[in-house]
Amino acid sequence: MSLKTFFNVFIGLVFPVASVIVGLIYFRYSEQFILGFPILYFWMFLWFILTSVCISCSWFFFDKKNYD
Amino acid sequence: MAVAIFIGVLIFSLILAVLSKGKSKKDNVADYLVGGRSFNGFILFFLAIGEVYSIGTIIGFPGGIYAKGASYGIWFLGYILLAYPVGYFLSPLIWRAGKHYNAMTAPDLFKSHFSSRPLELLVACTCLLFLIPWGQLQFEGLIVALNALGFDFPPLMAVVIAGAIAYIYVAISGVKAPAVISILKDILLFAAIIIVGWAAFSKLDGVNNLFSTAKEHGASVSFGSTEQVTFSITTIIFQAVAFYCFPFIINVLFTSKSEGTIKRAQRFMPLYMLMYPFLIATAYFALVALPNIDNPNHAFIATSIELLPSWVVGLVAAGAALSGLLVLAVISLVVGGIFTRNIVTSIPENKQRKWSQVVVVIYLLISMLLTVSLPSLMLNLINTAYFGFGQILPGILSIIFWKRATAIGVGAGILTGTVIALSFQFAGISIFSINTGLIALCFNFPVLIIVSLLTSKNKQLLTPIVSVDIEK
Repeated sequence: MSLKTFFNVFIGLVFPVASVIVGLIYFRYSEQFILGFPILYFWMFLWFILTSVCISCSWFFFDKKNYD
Repeated sequence: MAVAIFIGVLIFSLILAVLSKGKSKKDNVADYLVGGRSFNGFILFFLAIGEVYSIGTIIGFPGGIYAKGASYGIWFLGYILLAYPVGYFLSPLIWRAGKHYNAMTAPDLFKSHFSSRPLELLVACTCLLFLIPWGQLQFEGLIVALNALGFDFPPLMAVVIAGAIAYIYVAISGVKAPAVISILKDILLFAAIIIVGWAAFSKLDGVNNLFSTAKEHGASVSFGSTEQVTFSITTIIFQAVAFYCFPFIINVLFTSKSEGTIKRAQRFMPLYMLMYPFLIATAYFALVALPNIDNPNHAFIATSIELLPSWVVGLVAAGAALSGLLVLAVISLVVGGIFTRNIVTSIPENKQRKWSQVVVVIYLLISMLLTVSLPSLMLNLINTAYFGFGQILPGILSIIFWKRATAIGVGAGILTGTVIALSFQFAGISIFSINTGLIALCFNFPVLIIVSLLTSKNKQLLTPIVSVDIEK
């Protein structure tokens, strides 16, 4: 696996997956609210956006030239 | 009024189905099953989203939270979200395999890559078996939507009408009809969810209030126990990957023009999830204001009836119904395709379509009967289907990555996994609340590897798809 592929998969896959799961475990019993939402839900909403950003980074920095 | 709107939308969708056939005089299988592999990013996006944001989302998800609390909401959101990064890397490879072998169905991939008829048959039967709970899921949601309109049909009748409409969509133009109708449905669904959610937020004076009030009423806003955490996290991990083993998801992937098209579309799919906060609002509203709903699957529709004028309820029910119908339509296509291409392969091409339609009717009837006799929490049906489809995952990964895999190895793995998953489910066994499908995979993979290594001695090594060049 080349270094490029490693970084590609890291930013596009490993990072979002790990972040979501670690966050869910960390906040698992928390009853805190952020912007009115229970924190577990808020964490998910945040990552709806961030995951899209991560995948877009993979596309833009690594994949675009190979697929267009 | 609600009824009029509902029927109006359905008629419009039938018109769209006819229009989608277009000027294409092609009546070939490629066109019917995978749209001639010509769909661009726009259509692919809606078709793929349509398969995900279906009745499970609008009816099942709020119902699951209502019945089981936040942990169910979290696993549902989690697996759908994480399926996107997985898919960004995995789906183009699946597409590549499909193109390489000119596959029209998931079992086609196994048949061609491993040159094994028994394996093809095994995968085909597994697919058909687990498509049944998925069909049930759609019918359950449809009954809920129809009940909402005050149609007190006996479930059997509601379900027969639904089956007929789904059948008509694909009889007219194969997968192109669902693709086009998907756009209409996604617009309706999106609007319905936002309207109902907004109403829920307003009625309870804003986001802050909604959840604190719900919490005061005893609703759960976090995980309640280690078991719940384990179940949710393992379910998320398992289903995010098993997602790509669904026969109709694979079929949808095959419709894409190219690998790049898929990757480009996947970037934005997580953003579409931003409508979920509104769904969560309706679930928690129901927990506060409507604590005595006997069938939790009714939570979303009951909320919309409570808060909104009748014509909006009609639109909402129509959106929900279209979702169920569309998925049923695509499933029917896939069932017919798998039967004629992978199970009874000796049917001459001109008779294939007719036989396909017979099998579809039988499949729909079985699902309908089960729906009516064994109603379930919709989200539980989702879990069951995933247990089964997930067992195909090691096989798919082998096709893509492992040159030493053999048909016997893959087959042994699938059998092992399926038997374990089903036994655990029917016996009610649970190991530390870990998702049953994941446990089954833990047996499936090693069996595949060991048996493959044992049987690959004299065989020629296969070309893993990952080493085939990117198709532009």
